[in-house]
Amino acid sequence: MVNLLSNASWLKTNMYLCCAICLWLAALSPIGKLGKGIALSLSMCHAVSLVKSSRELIHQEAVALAQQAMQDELTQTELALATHQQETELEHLYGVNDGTYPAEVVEDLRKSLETLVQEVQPNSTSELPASEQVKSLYLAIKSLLEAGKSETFVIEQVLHKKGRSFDEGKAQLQQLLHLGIEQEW
Amino acid sequence: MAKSIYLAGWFLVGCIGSSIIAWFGLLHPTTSRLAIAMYALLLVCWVLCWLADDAIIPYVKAHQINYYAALIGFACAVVLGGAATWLTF
Repeated sequence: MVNLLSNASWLKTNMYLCCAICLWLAALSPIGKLGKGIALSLSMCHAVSLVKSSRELIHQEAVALAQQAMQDELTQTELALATHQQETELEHLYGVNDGTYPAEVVEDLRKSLETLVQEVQPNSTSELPASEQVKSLYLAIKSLLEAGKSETFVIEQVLHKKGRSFDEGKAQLQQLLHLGIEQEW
Repeated sequence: MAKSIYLAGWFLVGCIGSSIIAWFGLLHPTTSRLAIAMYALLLVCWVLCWLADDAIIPYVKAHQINYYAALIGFACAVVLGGAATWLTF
């Protein structure tokens, strides 16, 4: 609709321009005094209409440019919103922001840690545990701590150091954490 | 494009206006004095516009170069319209 209006305005303006020029040139040709007068009057009318019409055309062009700029801005905003919405949904889906794992995951971690400790402990009585097992234990404990569990929970439930041997368990945990940081696991 | 047509339209208005004055002046010897007087008046106004440019430019809110271009264009249109009509009458 806007394009049709714009095309009609362009057509009208060009028609006025052609008529004004042709009538002025006709007035310069030998068509008699009266003919010259009529041609000049008509030419003047068309020239004045041409000025008015082209002024409208300038306004329409400015409006079209502004609308195009606003449309571009809207498209960009829409794109940004859609991206943000997708990111939010993904974060919600993978639970990136809440910093905790579901209860089932925590339970699985605890069980796997217990298994690991049981595997490591027989070795630890005699020699140093295998580095891979220690690494697995460190990573599992780290995950548990990141999941929001306290050190006490890890010492009591995972390392099974309760009561009198709590301090020993704490030292073991610190040693393990220190080792993990040193080895950059 | 629309701006150039707009400027061409004003130039045509100047040409046709000058042609009308010239045509009116060439109709009869008595009207020629009136036409000459109108041309003289236009010339005086044009010279005044050149002389008082510093006072007029802020009033019309135009750039200096555009103002001078408009004055030159106006003079060209008046001379072209008048001369063309006078030569072809």
